[in-house]
Amino acid sequence: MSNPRVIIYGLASCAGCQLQILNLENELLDIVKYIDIVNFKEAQSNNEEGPYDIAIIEGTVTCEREITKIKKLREESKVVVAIGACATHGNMPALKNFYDSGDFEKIVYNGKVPLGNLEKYSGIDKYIKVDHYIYGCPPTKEDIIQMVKDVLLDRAFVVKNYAVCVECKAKENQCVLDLGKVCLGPITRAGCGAICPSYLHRCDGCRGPLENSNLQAELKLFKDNKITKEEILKRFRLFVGTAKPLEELNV
Amino acid sequence: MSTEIKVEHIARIEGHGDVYIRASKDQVEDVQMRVLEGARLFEAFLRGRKYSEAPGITMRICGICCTSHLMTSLTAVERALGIKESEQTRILRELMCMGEMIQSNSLHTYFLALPDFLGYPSALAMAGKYPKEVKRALAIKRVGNDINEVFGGRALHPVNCKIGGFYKLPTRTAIQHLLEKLKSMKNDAVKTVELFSSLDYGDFERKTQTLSLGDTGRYEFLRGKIISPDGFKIEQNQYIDYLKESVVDYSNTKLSSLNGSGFMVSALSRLNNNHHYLSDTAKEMLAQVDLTLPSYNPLHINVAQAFEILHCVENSIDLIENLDYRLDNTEYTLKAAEGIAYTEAPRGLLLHHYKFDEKGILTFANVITPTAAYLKNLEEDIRAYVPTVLDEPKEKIIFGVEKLIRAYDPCISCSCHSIKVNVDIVD
Repeated sequence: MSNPRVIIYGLASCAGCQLQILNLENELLDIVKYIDIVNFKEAQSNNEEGPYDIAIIEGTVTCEREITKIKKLREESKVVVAIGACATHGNMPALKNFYDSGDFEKIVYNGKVPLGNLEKYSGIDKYIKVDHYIYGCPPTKEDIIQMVKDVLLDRAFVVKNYAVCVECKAKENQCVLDLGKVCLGPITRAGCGAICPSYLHRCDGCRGPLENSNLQAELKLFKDNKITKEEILKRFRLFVGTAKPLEELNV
Repeated sequence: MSTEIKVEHIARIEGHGDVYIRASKDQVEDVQMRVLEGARLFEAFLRGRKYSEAPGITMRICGICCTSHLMTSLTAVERALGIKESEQTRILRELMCMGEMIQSNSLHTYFLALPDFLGYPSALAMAGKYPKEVKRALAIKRVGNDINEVFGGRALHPVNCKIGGFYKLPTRTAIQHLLEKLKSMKNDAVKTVELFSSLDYGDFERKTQTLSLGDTGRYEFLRGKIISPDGFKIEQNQYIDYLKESVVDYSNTKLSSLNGSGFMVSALSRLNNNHHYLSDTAKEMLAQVDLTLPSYNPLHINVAQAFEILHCVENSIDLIENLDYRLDNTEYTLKAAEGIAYTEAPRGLLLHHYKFDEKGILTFANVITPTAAYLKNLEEDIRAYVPTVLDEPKEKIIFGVEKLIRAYDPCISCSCHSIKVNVDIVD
């Protein structure tokens, strides 16, 4: 049986998720024994056309050209994986969705709006069906390896559905909420090892909100701590503002 | 007869960029590097956010050189607030910068550039015939990332840095383990210089200004003036008067110029300006290879990056062996202020410039990435290079142009992503 044909594709992004795949220095040569990376423009020049078995897509959808590309990739691919907070939720560039149209472009490009630029930025599942999500900014190497194994073995890639707080407590960290920080740990998917609170940062929620997270309790906590509405919205929207419960949130 | 060369989505570079060239029989009429990566608008959404958020946000501009964005951002904010970082903080930051240089330079030299010279489509495709080289590349890249995991908390988007210094010291065991790994990599770094010194970079050259940080008596990544081998020397905060940015209608990246012409920022710029301050082994090896500095052959960026890998491995060993095990953070009070900082990212000079009010709310942000800074210079290089190969078959012209572009190691994520070249010969 031949190896699955894989394409790794980047939309508007920092290219860090693609780099994170190349950062699997100890595992990369083993992984490519089991998959054929037939298209990876960032790393190779012999790039093959579809069909593909797996499409791993990074980046925010920012323009018409990108929508056309991912729709084509969806048609050509059996499995589509969204990797990183840009592809899952639009990440920071999607902050523009919450401001007046055209303002941002004018600031950066002296009044000229880039061609085909979309009114609203987003993750890829606004336009195509996504089979697996690798969350985070950055995504962890462990999640990438697990996804590849699961897809190869035709198993479900299971995302953790408990809060960052669980991992944070397991590390016996001091709670940064107690330090007055606007930490999204209680409502955010674990899997990162609570790395930010481990360095005394607040969690900015880059892996997205848990299913059935108690958003109202988190909001009450912030309001009790006299955090302004404006600040709460800034925190919720930084990485994953387009996530359903957050986008519709009434603070 | 005129020739049109269109390279769409250039391969083995970071991001989505095309190049368009129109040439008649003996001269090039037009060259445009088109950056088609979607606009990510960082400078806009920074406005209205707090000064302390700038480092964590701006490092997301680029995954390859996130540490450089982080350091530049921290320095710009600190200069605004009148903070001078302690010598200890400078050393710990320099270690992280060198970790990133090792990671990024090894990725570029071995994975993006070397396949061109050995006739392969990718480094992974070389693994069968060149297993030692590919494994060496991965091991060197690993140790670069290790430095940032130890001192930065993680390699991609580090979490341990803050305004005024660091959150935590790594454990002594982690530092000791890193030191041993670095020492074991020194021989691989020497072999990297040997390999990249032995490649044929051709004889194309074009005189330009090669700008980098310098004038500090060190192979500088973090401080200093902006200098060139011709004696150009300005303070960092004079950039607005000299380095002009303009919007062009064919690209989502703004182009930079100095006195109307492009200028080069790169590993070669640094080597041209600061080679006297390379680490001992790197300096000895530089004296033995056939490389006259300053060099104006852009393909020498590849060998310059190799020398930097050796310098950074050797210098990191030195810094860690002499490291005091302590943090020395600087306290500050918030005020309305403006701050400008350049650092050396792997691809060259990187600028962050902020203004914020008395509450620390950002009212202005400007970021000029190395790729945006050198793009005009790269266009000028292509314009000068193509006439030297116009008699060659189309495939050779395209290959030469791609090689030239890849030497610059364009990072299009930074500037606003792969290269494919089409040549149309129009009768």
